[in-house]
Amino acid sequence: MLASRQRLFTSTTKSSCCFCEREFHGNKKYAAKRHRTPRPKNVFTPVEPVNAVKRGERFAVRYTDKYGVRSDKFVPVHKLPAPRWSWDYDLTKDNVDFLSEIARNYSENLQTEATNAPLNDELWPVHDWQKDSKRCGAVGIKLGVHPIWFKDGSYCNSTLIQILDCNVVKYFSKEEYNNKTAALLVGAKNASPFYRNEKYAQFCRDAGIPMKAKCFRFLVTENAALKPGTPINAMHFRVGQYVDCLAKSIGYGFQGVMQRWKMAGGHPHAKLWHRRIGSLGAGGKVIKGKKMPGQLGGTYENIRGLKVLRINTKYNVIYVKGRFAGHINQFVKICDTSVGRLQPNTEEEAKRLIGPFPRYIPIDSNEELPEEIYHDSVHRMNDPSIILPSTEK
Amino acid sequence: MEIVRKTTLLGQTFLKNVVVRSFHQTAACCLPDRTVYDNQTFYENVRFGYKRGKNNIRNMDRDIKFLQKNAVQLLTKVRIVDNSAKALAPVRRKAKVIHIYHGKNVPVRGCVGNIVKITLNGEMIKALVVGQKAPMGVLKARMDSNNVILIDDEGNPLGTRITVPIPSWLRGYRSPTKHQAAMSKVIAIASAFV
Amino acid sequence: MMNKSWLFSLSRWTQSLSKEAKCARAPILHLSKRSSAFKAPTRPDLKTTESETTYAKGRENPMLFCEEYIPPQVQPDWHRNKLKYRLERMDCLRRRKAFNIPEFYPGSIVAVTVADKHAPGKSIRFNGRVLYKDGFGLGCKFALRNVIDGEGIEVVYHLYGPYIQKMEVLHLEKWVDTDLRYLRDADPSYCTIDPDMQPKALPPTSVELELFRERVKLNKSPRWQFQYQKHWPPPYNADFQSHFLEDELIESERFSAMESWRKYDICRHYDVTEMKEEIVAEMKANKSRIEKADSTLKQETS
Repeated sequence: MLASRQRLFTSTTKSSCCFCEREFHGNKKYAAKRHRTPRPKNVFTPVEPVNAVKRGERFAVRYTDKYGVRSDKFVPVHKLPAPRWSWDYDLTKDNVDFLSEIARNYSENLQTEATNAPLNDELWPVHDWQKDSKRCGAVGIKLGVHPIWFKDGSYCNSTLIQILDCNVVKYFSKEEYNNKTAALLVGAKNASPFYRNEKYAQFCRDAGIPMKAKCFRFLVTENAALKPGTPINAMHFRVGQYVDCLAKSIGYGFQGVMQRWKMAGGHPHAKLWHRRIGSLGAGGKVIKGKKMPGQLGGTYENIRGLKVLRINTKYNVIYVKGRFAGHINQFVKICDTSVGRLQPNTEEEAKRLIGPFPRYIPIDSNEELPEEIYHDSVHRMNDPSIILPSTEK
Repeated sequence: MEIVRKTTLLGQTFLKNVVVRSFHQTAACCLPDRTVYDNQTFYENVRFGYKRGKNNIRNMDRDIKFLQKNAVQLLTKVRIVDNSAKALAPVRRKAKVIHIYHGKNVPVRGCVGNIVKITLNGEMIKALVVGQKAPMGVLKARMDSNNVILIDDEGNPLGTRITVPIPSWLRGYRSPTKHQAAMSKVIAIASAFV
Repeated sequence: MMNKSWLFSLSRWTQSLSKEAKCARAPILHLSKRSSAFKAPTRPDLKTTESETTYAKGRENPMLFCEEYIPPQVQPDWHRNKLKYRLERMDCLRRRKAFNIPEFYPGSIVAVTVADKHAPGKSIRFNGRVLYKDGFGLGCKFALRNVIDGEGIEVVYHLYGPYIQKMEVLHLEKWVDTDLRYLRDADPSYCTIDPDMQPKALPPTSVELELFRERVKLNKSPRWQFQYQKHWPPPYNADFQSHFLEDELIESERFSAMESWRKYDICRHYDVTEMKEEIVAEMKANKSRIEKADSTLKQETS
């Protein structure tokens, strides 16, 4: 990416197109589209992404013959790279550096402003928990899996989730949303302010927070409303409670029937029938719901009822019993579980089964939290070895 | 078979004129020494990402959940570790599993703790699996052979001693199916636990 | 040269973490910059008990560096997370402070006492030769093999499992190979270990260990069904002359001649020298970090 930018700046001549300094080597059929595109004016108020800009560049490199000469052969439209548009398209290198420096400070400055000014000015009233009220969740990042031991000597695999720069972005009231429930937009992981949709950028600017790399929507009741800009950390959850984790599973693309549905396939010594699907049906009809080749993975998968075993307050890491889909560094949507038997009925149960309502509010702001919070059944790693009580008498 | 090799790597010439004669000799010169490669540690045989493969240590854990329940299947050859008269009799053909009592409709595979039916010298006898070759995961012993002891129809062992150690966790084991062996009697005649 | 790109591809929060590690490594400010004629006498080196013990080449201080502290080589780099490795190493250090895990290698003989709820004394002891030790951090596992009553038995343990009550090294040995599972095909005398074996005297940590370079003859039968002739690299300590059939011997020669170029495949080498320095600096900083974290825990409980 960087290299391609520098190449753009160095080449000054041979501008065949008004928009790009580089010569276009691909099919002119596609090059013509570039003249229709509007020109971006301001960095901070970007225009809608444009379809055909920079299209030719990639495929021109891709479709070369063996001597590296670009060929003019026909390239189907669906094989073209996805449309991309960069804000620094026709800026000098000094300007790029200057803007990226501003961007670096931009999020930090905003964060201090956000924590100081808009939140402390007028806090929204905190309501009590009532039956069937739903709380906001959090957005985290999957770190990985490692074993965790219990005091009875058994062990399980636990997944680590980091809650990283998590803020409430936007609150939609009941009337605003769908007249049924209110909703909260929660984002995580500070990102560059560029490359963002204008509508979304306005949300973050209103909330006084930096742009977020990923947002999830939570359906909440109106008594659990949070003010935009509210930070959410690992103490939002309680040790011993159950959570649901939603994440995007690893995508394998279009796969055959052996990989996707674990069908048997044919024998290697067979002549023509190796990895194929068998009979689809008879009588000119295909069986309904027949398992067939198709897209494998890359879908959002929800795993319900994972127990929170341990919380690290310093790094905002939650240790959850069990696993869920998704590769490492994948964004995860964590919320209180929807399992029926784990729903609290009374206020005492709510203190055990869900986290603090509607969010964690420290009683004393200067109080230092313990760095590690364990569930009672979990063995602490700094304790001596397990010695089981003898039952002999 | 002789091949002479001369290679350079980053300007350094090493392992000149390696004569590849046979497999074990190749191993001697091929496999790098820890002391030689101290600066640039050679972890090839230990870790390189997660290689796919049946025999990679890293991938064995994935298969364990499948393997530990599917250790014994039909026509699996088993070793009888028992001092009963039938077990000590001269064996014409190796004992094989012909049925597994699961309490389910499709009794195909079993593991330690299951009751199986075996053929021994042309006779069908019930037996209890007390050791398996497939890996069992952490803290559970894996044996070099599939071991069984002979039992009668009521689940009592025929012999008076088990000649090899049996897994310790069998002491707290009770089969979820209706096919029960007399575990307290089996444990009483065991020689050792691991 | 290898895999440096992960250093640059960190996001902002990981950069702040690596700053901490750099600060821990930075030297303390010297007072000698003051302009005066007076020269302070050099302070004698007061060594603590820890620094008195010197560690030979290849035998590191386990509090600072171990093989299992090295993360596995995962590609692409954004499929790894540095924070998870740090947290896991901190837990490893916590366990090592609470319980003395001795140093051992594949090939040495180890006895392990484990909490077992089924045993009458609530613990069970097993000893045997270490076949392999593998895994990162808390997931590190090792396997022991022993032949009892003519039956080969293998048990796998977590190295950092708190269920291990006692662990003693009966005989410290280091083989050239790191995976000795071919001992299943070897003569059972290699793994037949007396359950009441007395521990031999361990060499001090300042002495470098000599590698075990003898060859183990593998029998023709029984076979473990591992196709050695199709895997590269072949093990060092194994002698296949009597193990292979004729066809397999020819196949192995062909295979080794074909695949020996892999030795020069630099992408397969995992250079950890840079990573090692980082880990040592991090573990030094971890010591004080753990004490601080655990002190808050105790206040909470008491």
